[in-house]
Amino acid sequence: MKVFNEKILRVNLKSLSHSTEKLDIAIAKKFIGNRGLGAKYLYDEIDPKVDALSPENKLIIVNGPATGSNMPTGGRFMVVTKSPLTDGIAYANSGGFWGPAFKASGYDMMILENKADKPVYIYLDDDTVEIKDAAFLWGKTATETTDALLEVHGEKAKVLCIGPGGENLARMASMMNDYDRTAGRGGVGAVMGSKNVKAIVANGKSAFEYPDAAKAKEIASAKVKFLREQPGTGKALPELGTAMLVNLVNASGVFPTKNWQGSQYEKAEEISGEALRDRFLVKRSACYRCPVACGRVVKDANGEEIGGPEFETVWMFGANMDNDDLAYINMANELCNEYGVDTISAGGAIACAMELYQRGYIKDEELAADGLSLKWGDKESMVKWVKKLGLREGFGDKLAEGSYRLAESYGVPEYSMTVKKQDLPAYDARAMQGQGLNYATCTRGGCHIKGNMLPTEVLGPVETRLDRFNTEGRAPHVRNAVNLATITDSLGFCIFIRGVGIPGFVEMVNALYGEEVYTPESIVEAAERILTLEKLFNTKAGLTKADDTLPPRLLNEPIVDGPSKGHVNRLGEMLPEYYELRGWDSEGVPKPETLAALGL
Amino acid sequence: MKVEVLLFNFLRDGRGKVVSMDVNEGTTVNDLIRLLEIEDDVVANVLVNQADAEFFSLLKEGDSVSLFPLLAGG
Repeated sequence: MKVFNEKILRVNLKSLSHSTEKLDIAIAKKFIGNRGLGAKYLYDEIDPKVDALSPENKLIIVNGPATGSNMPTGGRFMVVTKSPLTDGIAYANSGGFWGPAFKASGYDMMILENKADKPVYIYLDDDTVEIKDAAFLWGKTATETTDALLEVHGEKAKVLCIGPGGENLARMASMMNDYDRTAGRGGVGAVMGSKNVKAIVANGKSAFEYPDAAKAKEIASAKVKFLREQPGTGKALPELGTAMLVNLVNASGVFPTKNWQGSQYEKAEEISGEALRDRFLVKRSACYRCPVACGRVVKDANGEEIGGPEFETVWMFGANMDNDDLAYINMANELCNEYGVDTISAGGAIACAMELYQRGYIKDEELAADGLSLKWGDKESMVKWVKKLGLREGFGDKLAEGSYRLAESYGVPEYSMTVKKQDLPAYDARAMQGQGLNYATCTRGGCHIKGNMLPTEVLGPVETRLDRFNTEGRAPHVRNAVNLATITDSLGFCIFIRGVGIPGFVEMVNALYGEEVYTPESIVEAAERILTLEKLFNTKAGLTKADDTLPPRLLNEPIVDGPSKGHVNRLGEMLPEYYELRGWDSEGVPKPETLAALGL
Repeated sequence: MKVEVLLFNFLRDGRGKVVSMDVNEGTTVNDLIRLLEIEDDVVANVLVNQADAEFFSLLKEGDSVSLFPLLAGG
């Protein structure tokens, strides 16, 4: 394998047939790979108006040029499809080891079409593609599925699968790989479930071919050294994992509580990264070629080792539900992984339901059959709701529709803390103006990571960072953060190495190609192209400027507590400039001249 | 004067979670960092009484100072 194998695998699930076609390398370079390349194929191949859970939708799994290489964190693959949660484009990536094994099997991209009549799984190795009966896997959790497939195909195989959440078409279902790595957002697992595909086993063994191995090794080593020397990636993140952010984000008063009714959690220390380490950490874990190792392995109540929660999960099942018991956060995280649902959106649905209960929209009678409550802080019920959501059992069936559709069914969608019906992560954008613009405009809906303003608005000395309460001149910073994330994604890297910057990314990818394919300017232009294509997909799917907004609470209800008290997000002061910078018109539609300039 | 220092992440190593200190009038956040023998450029986020503060902020009796190393991720 190399930057691209120049081979696409197309699987027709209806006829259980497959074919191989050549990847046009010029198109791959134009869209970088991974997220960008997936967007290009999705845009070209489906009508953006199709029902996301119908056979007409396609599920694209795609690697980037760095995937499987020796560059740090170069192991990520992307899933691109139409989202059943947002009804716009979905792209969700994951680390672990599955992406490199998929690339090593000889393909760059897999396009799953149509729908199988009965459950199947797909097996890939160096010379083989098999579509196999998955009846024995249906209904199994992620761990049960992975164990069963490794039993069949050997311990070295890598498994990507869905849990019951995906089978039951929970709109926030995830895809799980390597047991506890997750392509989490947008409901990509529900699309896989709608096609009756339970798992994809990759067992390729070919090695990465470098045009100049010595040069690639030299650059990879330099980048690893750089990342180890940075205080964030070299010490703070390895030490506590992403949950290290709990105390700082909380101290800054942007840590939402009780479905965003408050913004500072008095018991944050109890659920902090420090507490997670001191009370539960067994060891750190790392994805493919990662020098950071932010992953956590923790012990559960029985002393068993399980994957530990990320910062977003700690917040969602902690502060946002008024639960200060980390043991139950660990449990909720584990259940989300096993049932295959996104922790942010599954948790968002439960937190929203708790507020609907608090306000009297959901009544006890409706929950009686489940025998569970929706009271703030009821941790026993909280973890059980996760399972019921994954199984669409009882009230869990409503939760599986996601918080927006849930709140809408009671006539009060304003209590869903979502953008484009996808739940927001853990930063209160009322006191992080740029983060609000990022949330509102993210092409995959409510999300922080695809243009995260945390590093520029919260992290670092006050002398050097942006004033998080100020909107003036904020749009260019958001554009830059979004472009950087788009490049990172499309190359197949983890966002946590964004510190190498665009020149660093260009240096790495050019070394893998063995020629100067990109300059910092041309790769930014490619990112602009990808973003605009995603926006175009959403526009054709029916999303408008009205969807590039924030929940009413963030625009109209000032923060009530903590050091950020009194602030709301002033999106309207930033959005026009952002559209202008992107070459989109005042309604957020890409202008014809922008499309022409970007070669779209 | 007495001040309280809240430490986070690896700044707690060997120092603990909360340190009560008796310091002179005119002490700044930077002075406090040196008194705690924290290396230069390690502290990134400083809050005094929950509000963002600068390294040269002057402290006063009863202040609560939070010190965070540079974090990454999110």
